[in-house]
Amino acid sequence: MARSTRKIEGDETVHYVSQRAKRGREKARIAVPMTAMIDVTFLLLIYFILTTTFRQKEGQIPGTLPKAGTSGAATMEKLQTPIKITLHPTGESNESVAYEVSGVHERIVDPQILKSVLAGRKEAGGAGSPVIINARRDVRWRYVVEVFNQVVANEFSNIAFQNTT
Amino acid sequence: MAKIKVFNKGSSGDVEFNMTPMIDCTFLLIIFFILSATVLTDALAELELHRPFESQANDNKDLNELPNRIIVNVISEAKDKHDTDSRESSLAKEYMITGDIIRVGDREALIKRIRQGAIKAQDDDFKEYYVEIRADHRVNFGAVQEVLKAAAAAGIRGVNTKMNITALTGKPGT
Repeated sequence: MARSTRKIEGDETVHYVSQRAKRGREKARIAVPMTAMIDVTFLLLIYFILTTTFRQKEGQIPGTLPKAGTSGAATMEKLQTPIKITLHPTGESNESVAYEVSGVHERIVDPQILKSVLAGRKEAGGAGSPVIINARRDVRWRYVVEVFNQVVANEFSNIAFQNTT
Repeated sequence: MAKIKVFNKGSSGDVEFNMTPMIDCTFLLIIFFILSATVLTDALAELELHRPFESQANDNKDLNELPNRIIVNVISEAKDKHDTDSRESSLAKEYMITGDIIRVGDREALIKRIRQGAIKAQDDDFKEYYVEIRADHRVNFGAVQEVLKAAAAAGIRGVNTKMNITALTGKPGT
């Protein structure tokens, strides 16, 4: 076979070259063992895929602290009539709420309506009107945050939590 | 798609996958996961936050990096995140401030811990000190009110204590 033979110059004899001898004569090649690296890489990938939980974006709503030893309402200007929002827990384990805004007869459940009611009050009295959030201790925190968010959305600057016992 | 190379017809039929693009993709995925992963710090407890309608919460990155703030986590007794309405979920289990656990009802410990942060802010020449309320949306307002009262009582002269409420940003479903 042509591939396994060699010819020496001046010699007519065809010499057989074994495959092993041929391989040995080939240029030494450098090869990085990829298998182990790929194994580790896949393990890492599987680990990250299984453990990653994407966190939801958080932010802060700026508020004001009540003064120590007094109710939050004490910091308000006494001359202006405050807008008082009372939160009434409803449901067997207080899982829902009804909002009562001073001067509005009907109780509100939808935060969107609460926002528009507050917008009306802002138009009437200005953004400087004091707002008092009066929540019972057994009202879920999410409803308090909801009210606070709607008050901030209407750009009221004087917001306080009423001290409840 | 993996490229299959078939060598000479005469050979014993060596089939080789072209691994290079696959390894490229794998590394890209790993880099993505490493960069996007945020390890929960001891300042942020794992809890469920509320996303209000048209949330006004802003992710203030400058504030996050400030050393003059303290995050008070109010953790719910709820067994899992799907437990939203049970009476148990409305109870606060404990308060957590940078890894320190404070028992519910231990108002003195809460004031002491918040004041420590205020003193540190004063030592670092800050005029303002932020108390961030990060409460599980299921807990009763009573548990959070204790934090508000403690933060008001923990104030020190010369440092203006400010309060922030943590909520989820963006529209529902995002």
